[in-house]
Amino acid sequence: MSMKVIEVQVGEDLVSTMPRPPKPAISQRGWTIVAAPLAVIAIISALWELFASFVSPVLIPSPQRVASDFGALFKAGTAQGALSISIRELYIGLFIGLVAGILLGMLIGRYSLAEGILGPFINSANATPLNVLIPLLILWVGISSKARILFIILITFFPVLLNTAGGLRNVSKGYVEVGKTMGLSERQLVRKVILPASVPYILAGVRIGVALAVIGMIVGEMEVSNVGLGYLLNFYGEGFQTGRLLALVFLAALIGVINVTIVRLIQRRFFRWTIVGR
Amino acid sequence: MTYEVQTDTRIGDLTTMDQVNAAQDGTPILQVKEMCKTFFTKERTVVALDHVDLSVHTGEFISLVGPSGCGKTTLLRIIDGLEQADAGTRSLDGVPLSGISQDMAYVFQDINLLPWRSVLENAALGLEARGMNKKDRSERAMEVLEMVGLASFATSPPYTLSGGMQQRVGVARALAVRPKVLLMDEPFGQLDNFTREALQVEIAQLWAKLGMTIVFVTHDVDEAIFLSDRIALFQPAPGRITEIVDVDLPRPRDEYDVRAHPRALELRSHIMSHLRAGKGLPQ
Repeated sequence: MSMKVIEVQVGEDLVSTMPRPPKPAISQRGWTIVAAPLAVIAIISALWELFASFVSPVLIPSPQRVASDFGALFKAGTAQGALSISIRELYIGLFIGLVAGILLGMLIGRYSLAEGILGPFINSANATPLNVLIPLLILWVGISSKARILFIILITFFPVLLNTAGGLRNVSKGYVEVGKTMGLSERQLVRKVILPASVPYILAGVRIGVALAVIGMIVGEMEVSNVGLGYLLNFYGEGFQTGRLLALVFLAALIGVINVTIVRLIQRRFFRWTIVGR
Repeated sequence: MTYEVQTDTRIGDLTTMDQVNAAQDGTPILQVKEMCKTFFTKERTVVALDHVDLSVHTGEFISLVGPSGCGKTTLLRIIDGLEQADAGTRSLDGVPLSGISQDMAYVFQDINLLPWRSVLENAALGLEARGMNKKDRSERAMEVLEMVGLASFATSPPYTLSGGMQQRVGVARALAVRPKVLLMDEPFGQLDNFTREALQVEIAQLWAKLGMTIVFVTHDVDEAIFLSDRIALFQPAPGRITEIVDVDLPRPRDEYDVRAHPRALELRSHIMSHLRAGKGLPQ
């Protein structure tokens, strides 16, 4: 009978020879994030391809057709021309709408008098489908870039305002009490506690506003122009050029996605605590 | 492995207690007189404070103990100025107070560190309110973070800290303004047992080192006995202080098992029976 000698290691050696738990496979997770949507896209394309082979290309053009039309739109410069007009109006309107919405939202969230006076009108306006105002805008400033920018401002303004005001009103009582007991003045309390604490709400409003602004851009151009993406959409639809129509749909979707991504990146970079903290 | 057996002579050695008493000259730093507060809700009317008087001596550690809803937290909030009393007066160093006093600081049960600020910036909040410049602010904040052992976390965001560490920052934030009186509202109520005990020891040491006056609200009788010079017993509906108990146990109390000390056992049973005798409590 043989005896086994068991060596006992002590101290650091023991630690270093212990089997390490496998590292969390971040790269694997990253791979899934890329792969899963790709797989979904592949499946949808295959189904689309299948349907397209049974139906007239006027109703459902094939994916290849849409892709080649997408390229053609850019080669001819049609897409760039429309985009340069649309994007410019989008960002001018969005910027003014966001800034005005946030500023007035702060005022209304902070002062109950302002809320009492303006609240009912703002809530009614927010509940109104704002495209009813388009004819009026045309009467005022004509079929022009101004009318479309005004419409984008309008459609962005109200949700941003209401979110901001709600944010200021709903700041945690605990944060406010901390500020008060630490001796902050009323002004300091607003600047150092209430405004930062309402950032998550304001960002939520900005996300809604950014999405609505793209809708405003397209609707405005469909109704009030002979230029821009919205106009082109109408044009190709009426002309049964369904391949080009769908190419523009994807382009509009892309603009929306890019905008939302920009907001998300800003939030990650500058307001990281709203994602991981709290 | 050797075990060190301690034969602690300090237990029952009341000379240390005399030193503690000598350090406190017995003059009241904080005085509350005839304080009244009633809360009205749709369902009921609660008399949270019914003509409550309290004198807090300079340098003492006093706890307010009682069942939940007895008004102890309300009294602390009124002392700080967070809550408005219906009637009654409060004064610090003989000067009547109104609003929030710059000479007192409050530690909350639900810590409420501001998540958009780093640990250091949280600790410096009260200093910003007092208009201190940035350099002095970070120096002072760093100093108090060192006191609570969190200097190395100064730049961390608060949500990366454990509950116990967050409350240490809560304490540091209050200490940074060098308050004459520190008001603590069940500060360890949300922490697990081990963390709570560790923080009890730390706060007792900080109190001894800094010579502050602390008013401490808790419903934990053992915690109150471990920390306090005096314990004010509250009874609810209407909220009143019905007795003030002197805790004549030697300090420092983290050097022996306070709970097993015969005098502590006596105090504990006295306090418990007094609280049980109050209205609406099970016998």
